[in-house]
Amino acid sequence: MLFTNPEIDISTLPKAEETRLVPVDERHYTVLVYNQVLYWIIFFVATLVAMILNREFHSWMMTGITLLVFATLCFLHFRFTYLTFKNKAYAIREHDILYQTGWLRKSLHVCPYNRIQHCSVDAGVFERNLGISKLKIYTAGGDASDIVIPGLTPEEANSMRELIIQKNQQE
Amino acid sequence: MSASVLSEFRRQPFMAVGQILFKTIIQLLKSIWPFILLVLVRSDGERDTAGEFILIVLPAFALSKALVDYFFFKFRITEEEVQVKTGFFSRKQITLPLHKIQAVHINQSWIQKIFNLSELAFDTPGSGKAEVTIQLEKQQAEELMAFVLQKSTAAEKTENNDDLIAELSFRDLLKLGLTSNHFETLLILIGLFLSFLNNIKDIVDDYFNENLLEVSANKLLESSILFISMGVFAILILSVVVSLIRTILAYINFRITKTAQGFNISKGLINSSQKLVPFEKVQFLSWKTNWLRKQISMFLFEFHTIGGKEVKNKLKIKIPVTSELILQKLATTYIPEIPEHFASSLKVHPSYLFRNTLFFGILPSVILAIPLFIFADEKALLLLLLPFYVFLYFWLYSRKFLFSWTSNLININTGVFGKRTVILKWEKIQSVKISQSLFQQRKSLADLIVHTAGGTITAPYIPLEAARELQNFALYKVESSGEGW
Repeated sequence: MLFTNPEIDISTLPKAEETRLVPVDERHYTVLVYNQVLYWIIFFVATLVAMILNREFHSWMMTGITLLVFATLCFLHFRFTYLTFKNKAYAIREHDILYQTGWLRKSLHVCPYNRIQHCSVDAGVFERNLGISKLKIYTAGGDASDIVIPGLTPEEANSMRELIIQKNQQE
Repeated sequence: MSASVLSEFRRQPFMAVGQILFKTIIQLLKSIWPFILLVLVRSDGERDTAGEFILIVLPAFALSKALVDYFFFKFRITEEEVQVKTGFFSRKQITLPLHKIQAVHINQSWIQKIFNLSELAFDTPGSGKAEVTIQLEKQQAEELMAFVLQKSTAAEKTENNDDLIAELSFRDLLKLGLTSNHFETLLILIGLFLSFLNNIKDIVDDYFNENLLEVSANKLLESSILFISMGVFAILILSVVVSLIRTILAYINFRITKTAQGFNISKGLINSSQKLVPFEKVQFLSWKTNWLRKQISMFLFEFHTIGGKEVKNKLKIKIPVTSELILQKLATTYIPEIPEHFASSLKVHPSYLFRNTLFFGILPSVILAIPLFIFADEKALLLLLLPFYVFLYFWLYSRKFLFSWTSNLININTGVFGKRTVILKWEKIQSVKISQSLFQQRKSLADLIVHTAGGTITAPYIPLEAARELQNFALYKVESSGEGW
């Protein structure tokens, strides 16, 4: 027979959702917190300057309200980041790579090796100091289609990159 | 052909200076025309330095820029690559390997027609920035196009039997023009009119030192309702006429042929262009129609190809199709047969409609209307109409949305006021994502997001189970297919 085309029973296909996912390194959370603290410090200074310059804020009530709003936003932001971090996990299968993230909007992104264009390992300033890296996987599907897995040790990231390149050449 | 390979660096034909000069002047005029108008209005016979500036400095600037651009642009085309050197202050050299070239276009604007020139444009994958255009004499451009195409798809080359697929007759053009989106034209006209009015108003304001235009406009408005209704009628007629003219200018001489490498599309009278869509670069197909066009079975067909945004915009050609047969012919190289019926299909969940109406209709209108009502006036209450429009929009959308599939392809029907059909082969998928908001997690719903090199396709608010099955199936298809995309 030259060509066969049997019907596929979808229920027998390997299930991406049942894959055991590996959570990203705790140190990635530290990086997120550092970034956020930096962001809020800048924001806080800006607010402070605005309050000093604006005479309407020279009352205890306005100052109180502003600080309260500020603290609430700050708390929510940190909380969201933590919950999002808790959901960040990845898995490597024989033919594809999985990455789960998000809390407000949770997603599971799967990219087959034979569609990967190239991948890179990089690390920001905080990440370098804490000894972690992130793996970036690029496809031809544009920015939204690319996967970035943070919180990997450099060894992990590099061996994953090697594996992807190897798999990519095989397929 | 190798004889005409331009293996030495050379400049474009000298006539290209004229074209570059013209382009520079147009660019200049576009950015400073209100300023020029202002000066012209103001100069009352006396010596005017600004006027002198415009008359002397600008043409000199344009001419010198054109000359510099011309003399410092050199190119050559060898057996392996296209090389271009440009720039006076910052020099740049671009090398384009021939086998990397995705598509070649020949464009000819009316100004180029005067100088008997054509523009040869190369598309590469990656960013649109590295893209190269070279001006050549028409015949030379065509020869080079053939040469480059031969090199870029050297693999399987058969005899060049161009197979005519469709041409548009004048009647087709009329039909196409009359059924086009007049509302869009109307908005463009209004936009043009307003910006024109604004520019004029600034100048006139300055000149007369009083708000003449506004006064007279107000008087006119008050004068009679008849005037207004006549105006509305005139604008409607005008927008139909303008969209007819737009269509005719865009699609006159439209011709699509099938060559060994891809579909060759040529069109245009004033700005003629010729594009080639290589078969293997097509990622998915789509065609759309509106209510009027549906009645006369007319569609606008589109090939979604690989490439960056700018490249895609260049290759993005809406092909008017006047019969199902032509549609079939265009689709056949991508997918031999489009099934009439699909075994499995999905609709969006009703909560899609209610969630979107809440978030894009009710919430914004309430948030905006209340403060505006308090601080401005009763007109703010008009904002409360927004939710109805949003509801209608998403109601139509969710009614028309249908995601269906076979083991070979995905078929998606969408549309709000018209109807759009997308055909995607599973193998063209780059990555698959399932995304759930907190609400969707509670309701076991999910968005299925499919990334291809030609664009992203989303199936919103489908059951989580189905989304997962589709994700697994897509992965299976992509990973088990030995072919590339």
